[in-house]
Amino acid sequence: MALGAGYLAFSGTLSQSNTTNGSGLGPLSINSATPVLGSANAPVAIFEFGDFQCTYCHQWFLNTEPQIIQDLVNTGKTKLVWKDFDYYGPDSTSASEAAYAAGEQGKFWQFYDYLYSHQGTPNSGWASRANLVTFAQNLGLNMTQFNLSFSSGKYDSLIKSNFADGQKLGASGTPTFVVLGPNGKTVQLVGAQPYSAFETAVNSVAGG
Amino acid sequence: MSPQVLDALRRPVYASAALGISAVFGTLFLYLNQFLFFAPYFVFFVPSEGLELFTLDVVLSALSGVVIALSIFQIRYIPRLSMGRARAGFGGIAIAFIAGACPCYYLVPLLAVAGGAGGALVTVGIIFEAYQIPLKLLSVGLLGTVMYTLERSLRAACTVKPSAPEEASSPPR
Repeated sequence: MALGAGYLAFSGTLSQSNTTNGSGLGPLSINSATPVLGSANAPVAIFEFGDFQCTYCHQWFLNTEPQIIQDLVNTGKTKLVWKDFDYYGPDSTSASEAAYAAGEQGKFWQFYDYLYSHQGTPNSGWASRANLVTFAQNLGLNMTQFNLSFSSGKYDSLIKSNFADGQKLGASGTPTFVVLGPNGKTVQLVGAQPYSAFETAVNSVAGG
Repeated sequence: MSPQVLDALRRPVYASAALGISAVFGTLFLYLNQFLFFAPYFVFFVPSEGLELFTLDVVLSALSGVVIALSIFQIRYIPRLSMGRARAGFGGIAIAFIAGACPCYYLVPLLAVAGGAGGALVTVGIIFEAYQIPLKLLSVGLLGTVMYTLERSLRAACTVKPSAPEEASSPPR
């Protein structure tokens, strides 16, 4: 719940740009390994460039994401797309790898929720590899399959390319969001902004 | 007898300076702590769990404005007084700025610009962000101490010494 929230949108201040990308090539590409929440046919996509150790990402997860899922994702207006932007430390990369490994069992977003819900001080060890294995156990994953994937390093290149994608889009840190419309229009939001800002951005790009 | 700091702040120039500095610092603090967003839309947003930090930001802004205005007053009228405490006040303000600033605004540019040193600064930034509430409380403590010291210094400077009344000084009105 937001206390004392005020909101004012200035017309003509949208940081919009055109992109040729829909779900094809480029930094906003979606492939089979990209975690997507919501309908694949949703006209608008919200790309989250995040780090599981980032405290402001956690704030966004608590204050904004639930309403986005309820009002925008579950209604088929948008889909939420995860892109790693890991630089808090090695534990961030491990957390991403573990989430992808959980994704192979269809539980990426459950793992995502679990990580943010159990977030500790960055680099304090809360996201150590041992703890991540415990998280997977707690979520009831097939541990043989999880361990095999988690220790394979097969998501290293994806994590690195997601970081490069974020940089190409001008992300300077986490959380950074890019709202992509059906006609390639984008709006970038930096920081743990409230739902109202996302709603306006989604409406802005959806209108073409 | 009213506190000397209040006497100083009754002067319109110093009151305006304190207000202006507080407003600028407040805007910066709220922006860095993600209570205020300017792009792509102007949004003011205080989540319920951010109330502590928001309150600290407001208190720090007010204290920063008053301490800086009083330091200028001291430099202007009583230059013989030590500036050590005022420097401590500026240290408190610097800590307040660094603590809690969302890394989303500076991490990648810092890495790009400063290379290896940037990595170390990023680590420091992450640690500061993680302990922002105790650090900001420390800043409030520092600024509060500076205010108290400034008050005592100003009072001492304005006190008439019985043995040498002609040496007593008072800031001009």
